[in-house]
Amino acid sequence: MASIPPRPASQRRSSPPQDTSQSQASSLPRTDSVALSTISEDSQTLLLNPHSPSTPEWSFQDTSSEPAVPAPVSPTEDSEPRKCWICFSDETEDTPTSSEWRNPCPCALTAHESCLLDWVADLELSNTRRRTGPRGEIQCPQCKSEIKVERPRSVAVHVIRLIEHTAKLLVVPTLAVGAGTMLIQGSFMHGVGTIYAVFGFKDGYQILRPLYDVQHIRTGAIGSYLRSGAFFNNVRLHMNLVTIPPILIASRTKLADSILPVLPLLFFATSSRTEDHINLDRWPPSAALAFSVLPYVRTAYNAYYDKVWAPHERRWLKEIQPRAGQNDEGEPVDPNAVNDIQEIGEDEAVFEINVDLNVGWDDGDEAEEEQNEMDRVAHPFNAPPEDDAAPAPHIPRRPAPQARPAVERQEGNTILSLTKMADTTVGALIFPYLAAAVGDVLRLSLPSALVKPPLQRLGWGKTGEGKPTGLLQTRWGRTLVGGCLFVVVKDALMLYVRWRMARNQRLRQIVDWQGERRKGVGQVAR
Amino acid sequence: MFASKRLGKELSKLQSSTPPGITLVKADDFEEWEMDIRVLDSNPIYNGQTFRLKFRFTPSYPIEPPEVVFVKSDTRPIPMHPHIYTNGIICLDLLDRQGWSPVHNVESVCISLQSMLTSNTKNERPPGDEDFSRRNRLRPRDVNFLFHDNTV
Repeated sequence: MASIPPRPASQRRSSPPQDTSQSQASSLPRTDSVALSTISEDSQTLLLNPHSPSTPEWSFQDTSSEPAVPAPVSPTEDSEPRKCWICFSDETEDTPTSSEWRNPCPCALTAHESCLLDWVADLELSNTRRRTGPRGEIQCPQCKSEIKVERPRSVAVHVIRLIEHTAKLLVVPTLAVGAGTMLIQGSFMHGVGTIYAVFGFKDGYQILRPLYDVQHIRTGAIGSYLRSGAFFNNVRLHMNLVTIPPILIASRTKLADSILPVLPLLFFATSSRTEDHINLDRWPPSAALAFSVLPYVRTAYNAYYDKVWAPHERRWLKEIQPRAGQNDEGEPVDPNAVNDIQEIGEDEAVFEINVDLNVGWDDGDEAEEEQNEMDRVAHPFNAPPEDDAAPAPHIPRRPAPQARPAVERQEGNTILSLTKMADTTVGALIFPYLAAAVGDVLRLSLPSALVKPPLQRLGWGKTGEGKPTGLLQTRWGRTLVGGCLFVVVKDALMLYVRWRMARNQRLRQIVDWQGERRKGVGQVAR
Repeated sequence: MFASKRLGKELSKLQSSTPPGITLVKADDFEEWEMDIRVLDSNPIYNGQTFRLKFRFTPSYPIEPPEVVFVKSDTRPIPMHPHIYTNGIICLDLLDRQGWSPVHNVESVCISLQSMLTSNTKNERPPGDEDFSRRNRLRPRDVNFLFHDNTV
């Protein structure tokens, strides 16, 4: 270092190995590091001495006493040479390239500046609060007092480091907010899609118009826009759209049983006039009314299904399980039969899921059905019971196997729970589109008198669509009915399949070998 | 260079004298040393036993802590201690980057371990020892210890 006062070369070279260094050390001139002007060339950083380096007497002593007889600089230090607590070498071993000596804290530890700086750099890199003080300051390992490091300030470095630090802290919250925003945006888009699917473009546009209106607002008019209440309508619409997917999903699970009946009340309590454009005629009920009745219909349908059909369904499911004494390997005679059983077993689990989902959804569908489609619905429902009556006598014959298979199925369900969740979610989200599709099928398949509003004279020889006189004449009505139909038909089909599977199970037979018996084939199979 | 200079200092001091119960076994180079420690009082857990410690130094010693483990041989068991694993890995904060500071040295580490053994009253291994000892392939310095016990 340039700033070290040069020592006599002879002294340095002659400085003996450690053992004798003690005696010599005292005679060595102290190259005290307190020199004010010190600038380490390897680093711009300076360690501040607590005894202020600018004390005049020090500098005086440093400069004046150097060539002369070495004067003890500090009474505490002069008994033995200073020893760096980091590299453990002491003063006597200093070479011209050795760093300055620093004693940055009140305790006895002194060290080379370069050693200290290495250590500080390591501390700052390792970035743990534990090694440093609570505010990240460097502490003396012995006395825990702060070691001050003076470094050139650079605004750019400081700012960038601050930004990096903040960015690190913000990563997780940002990710969470991002994911949340994506979820909400996704829900919103799905909600918009649902509205269009259910109400068709024209009515859907009426409902969603506040969304588009916002874009036409001039900047100057924001105040009046806010005051007009349109803003709150818009916010409300947004929130409603966002809640569509969660409610769809919830309504397929048991969770919603307690929540859903409350929603219509909320809906009426907070109802705005958005739905007014949709006709409020007496017979086709208003869309708002019709949809808000759905949760009740759902509950009613679920109760009906649970009471009337669930026991049958459970019985049929049990019947296709292998008997208790006759597990998979117990029934090996007909390979086809075994395969069937296994397939059925797998299918069964899946079916069960579907049925659960359906049950979740039944409500909505059934509601409408009860209103006007009861006749149609009756058919699919009636079919299974009739069939059921015939095989009934068989049932008492196999009561035994029931307890055990039930357990097995439960296990299967837990394994499938992830699949089930995905199934529930996806099923719920596409349900509106399915319902709309069934609604379209209704529109195309039913006589046009039922599904088209009567024509109305508009004057000037033109005609247009009049007010609908029936539920099916509106797009949303058809969707509603379509959705209900879908659920009911699906349930009915499922029940039929179960029943059919159970019946087939009872009727299957092992086929006897028709050809000639050969002896020993089994043993010589190889 | 940095490490070897300081280790040279420590070595010459250890060669001239060591604290009671601590002996220098091997220090052929400035990368790996072996030390023997034994407990001085009559702690029944360690009575009459001597333990072998292996130190491994990086070139950045003493800025970086040395890697210190107990090694097992016929005459040198791994001491039973709730912070010492069967594979010899020691869970002690001053051996970790977080607890280390250059004021420590080989001798002070040995003394710390010695006193850690002396004050121990539990004849047991750390929780999860078997699992850790069987599966751990990391070097001690790469193991993340969670220091929770301030009584040792």
